[in-house]
Amino acid sequence: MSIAITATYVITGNLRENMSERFIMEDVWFKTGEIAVYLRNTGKIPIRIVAVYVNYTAQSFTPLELDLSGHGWLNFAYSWDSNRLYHINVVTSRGTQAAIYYRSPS
Amino acid sequence: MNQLDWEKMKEDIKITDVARVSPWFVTKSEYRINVGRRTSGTYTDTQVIDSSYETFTESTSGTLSYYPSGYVLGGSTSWVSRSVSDLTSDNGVYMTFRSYSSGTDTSDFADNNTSDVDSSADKGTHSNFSAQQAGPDSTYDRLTEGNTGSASNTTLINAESFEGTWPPTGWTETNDWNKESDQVYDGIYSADFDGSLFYPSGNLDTPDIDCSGASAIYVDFWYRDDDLDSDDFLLRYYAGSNWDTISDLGSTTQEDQWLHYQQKITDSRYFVSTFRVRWSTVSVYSGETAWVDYVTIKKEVQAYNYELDLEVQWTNADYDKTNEELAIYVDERNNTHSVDATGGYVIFANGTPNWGSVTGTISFWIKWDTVGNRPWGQHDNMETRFSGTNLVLDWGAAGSLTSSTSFTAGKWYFIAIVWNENTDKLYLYVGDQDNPPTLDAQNNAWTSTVSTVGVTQNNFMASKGGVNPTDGHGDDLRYWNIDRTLAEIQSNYDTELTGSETNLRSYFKLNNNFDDIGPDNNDGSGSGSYSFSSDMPFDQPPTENIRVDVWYNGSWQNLFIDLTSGWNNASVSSYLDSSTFTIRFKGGTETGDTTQDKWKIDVTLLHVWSGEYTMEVEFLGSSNTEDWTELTWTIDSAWTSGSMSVTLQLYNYALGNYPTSGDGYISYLTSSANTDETQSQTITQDPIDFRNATGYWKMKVKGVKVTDTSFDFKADWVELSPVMSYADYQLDLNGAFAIDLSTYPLAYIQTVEIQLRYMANDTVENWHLKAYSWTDATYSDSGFNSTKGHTPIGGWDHYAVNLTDHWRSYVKDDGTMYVKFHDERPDSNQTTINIDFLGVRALFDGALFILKNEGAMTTHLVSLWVISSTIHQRYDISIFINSGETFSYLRADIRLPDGPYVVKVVTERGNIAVYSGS
Repeated sequence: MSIAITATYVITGNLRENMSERFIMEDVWFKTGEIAVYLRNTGKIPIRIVAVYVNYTAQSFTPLELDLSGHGWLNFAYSWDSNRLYHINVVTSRGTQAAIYYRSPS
Repeated sequence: MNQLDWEKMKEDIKITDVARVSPWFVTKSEYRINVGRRTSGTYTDTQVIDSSYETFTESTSGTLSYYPSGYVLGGSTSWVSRSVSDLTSDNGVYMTFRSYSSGTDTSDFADNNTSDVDSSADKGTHSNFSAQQAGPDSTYDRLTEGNTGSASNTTLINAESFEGTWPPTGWTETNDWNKESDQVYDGIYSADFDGSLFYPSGNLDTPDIDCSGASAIYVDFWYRDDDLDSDDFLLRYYAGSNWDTISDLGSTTQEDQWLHYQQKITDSRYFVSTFRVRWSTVSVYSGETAWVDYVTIKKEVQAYNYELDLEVQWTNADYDKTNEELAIYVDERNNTHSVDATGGYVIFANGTPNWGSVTGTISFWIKWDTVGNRPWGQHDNMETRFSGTNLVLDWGAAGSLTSSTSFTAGKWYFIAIVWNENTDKLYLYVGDQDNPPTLDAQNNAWTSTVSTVGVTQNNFMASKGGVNPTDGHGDDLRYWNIDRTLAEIQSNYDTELTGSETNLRSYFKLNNNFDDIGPDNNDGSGSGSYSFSSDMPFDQPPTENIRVDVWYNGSWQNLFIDLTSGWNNASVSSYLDSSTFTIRFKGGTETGDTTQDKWKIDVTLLHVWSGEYTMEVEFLGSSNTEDWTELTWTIDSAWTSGSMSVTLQLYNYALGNYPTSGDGYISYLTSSANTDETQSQTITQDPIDFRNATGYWKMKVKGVKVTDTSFDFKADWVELSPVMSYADYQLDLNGAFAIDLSTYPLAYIQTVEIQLRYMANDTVENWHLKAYSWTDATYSDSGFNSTKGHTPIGGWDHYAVNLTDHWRSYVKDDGTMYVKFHDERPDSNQTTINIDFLGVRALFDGALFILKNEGAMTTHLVSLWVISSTIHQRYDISIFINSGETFSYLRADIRLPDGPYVVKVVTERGNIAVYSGS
């Protein structure tokens, strides 16, 4: 009986956290050999960014954690071309994603 | 979808504009044409750049308007609110000034105490009438009731001439006194004493005569001397316990004749029930004879009834004021107690206070039950004691000074000891309850010192630790650390002090306590048996009322039934109708009053005043110095009080003053309170007299009202408007503009631009844009980026000026700007001008973001981005915008990039609005 109760709590707790997690990309800045994404936590719990994809390819980056209403730049090296459309996808540790198409400067 | 996503979906924020400048603000009313005329169109045709325009043509005459640039307050008028920049139009925006009290207010002290308007003699006395003529200053006039009771005589021995039984009934005689008829003054017999070889002596005595309660005794008889020598024939009185020799009747050289002896006895020792008169013959030899005849003795008894009836008069009173009061200040200080130290004494602050200063004065009142012992002392060599009934001062040494006064019991004495070690002076002053202190004894070679003796214990009614306590009452003990003069002592020996008098160190009123109200604050305490007594030497509170009456129409009218401490005020408007005004102080109990009361009157004055308020202000301005053919001056204003008497004056520089009639003078009575009224006058004769050589002018507004309440003057519009006539053509017009400061606050404006689109039909003269300087109260282009004007080229011209960092002088606090457009000078060409557009706009030191919430919910903006090709700059913001509202967001710290840029705002829910600009 006690095992069943514990399992229920874990399931509903994870679900509630996932549902409370929100973040947006306020800005994307194409710099030389680098892309900077400005993230803002708009959800109800802190978030941790665990993956960034450009055109569905994972990128290496410095881990970023944002508290409630926290915001900041997420920078990663990327050799981009001028005037091309890029799909940028950011993923949290709980699996929440924010994706955007962004055209690089010409 | 949860609530977060639902709310995010409902949000719709937009950036509608991003700008460095405000929109153009155009005039909302028709232009005022000072010189020239309108030929077509209206001001609305100048609001946008399009094909419609307003047309003006030059002319040879016109009217200019000038407004105040400053003001000068008159009298005690005070400024309340706003400024002269609010006086340029009749718009209900007031510059306000407050009136001041201008009524007369006079305090007229009583002139004399010598009047006798009721032909009734004064009763009672003033101690110092002049004290009533100043203050309140604690210098007072003590009014003392006078005794109006009369004296009556009772004959106790009536013309006894020894005609009947010898000796007469009740009389006694010894030895050879007899009645004989050899010498008589009256009748057949006289009393006779014949001498012999045996030198006999004898007495002839009257019976006991009841002279108790007498105020005087009259002794009257005739006597005769035959060969008597000195000391042979003596007159003696009996004082109840002893015989006093009064006169040596035998010493006369007028022998063998009847001599008349008369005496009024006032020595109260003889006012006893066993008073007698004795004629003594002593060792009278043969051939010597004494005679007495026709003896009369009367007793005078004084009745007592104390009354007060003292007139005080003004001879030059101001009797036509609105408010007239009689004001009398009664000194409130009264002695209330003394200490009855019979069986005890007083210790000051555990006995430690040392009053042995180099210079000093110690004074006190004392009434002994039995004269003796030691009234005050702190040490063997600083104390008082008695030798018999004389007071001895041991002052630095034993026996420094002895009083000449022989003190008696049952009487209040004032004693002051004054010393100065530097001058070797030691004085003793003594007074009593009926007489001021005088010098009693002095030691001008007093070489001792008290400043070094120290203190054993400081006592009153005893000495140095309770030694030899004296029984009786003590009061008002003072210690000063200076040697006071006799005049200083006399000035306040019989009145209580405040305790803060200069050089007074300790002061014990002994009014039911032992408090020291002097700065040393050495409160005392009683030792042994003591009590506080209502037996006091001075300043007893009066026991009856004191009335004050006014003399009016031949009789006295009552103003006060009694005076209380402090100010007593009563209106006398009903009685004060001439310059002579008389009052009287009258005792409240005037029959059967056996108590002599006293009142201390510090001030008696007439306080007369008129309630009146005045507002006076001069407005100052400047104008041109051209030839004026006519001048109209206008003031539109309101007053917070109705029925004001107002004068408006325009200064006449030719006369050198403000006119009091005619041109430059307007006088009127206002209507109801807070009603705008326009007063205007047109001057056609010598209008240039009303400005000086440099164009300076001034006008005065004065409002007066008889009232007890202050009022305000509210100036709405003040204008000087001269009419000019020229030989050539000119155009001069101005319009009013308003920058929306609610959207574009003054704090964010960097500068202001004025832009004109116009067309002239000739190109022979320059045209100028100016703005009204609110600080200089004149149109000016001072500080503009260009002041040279603009020369038309024959088609539509754009003429713009920038007010640079001088813009603030030209923008009123409410955003109002007056813009003038005029030609350079009159010329022979009659130019026609079309104006398509005239407007002003503000340039900001920063950026303006116009944000509109088109969503269904209030939105919270948390960040703003300014993005260019080289920078992505984020700014934290916190702006809430309600649904449907537009918000102007000015940021002085944000400079928009040159070239293309993007502005974004981000909501708290995560929505983003984007604006692209360049």
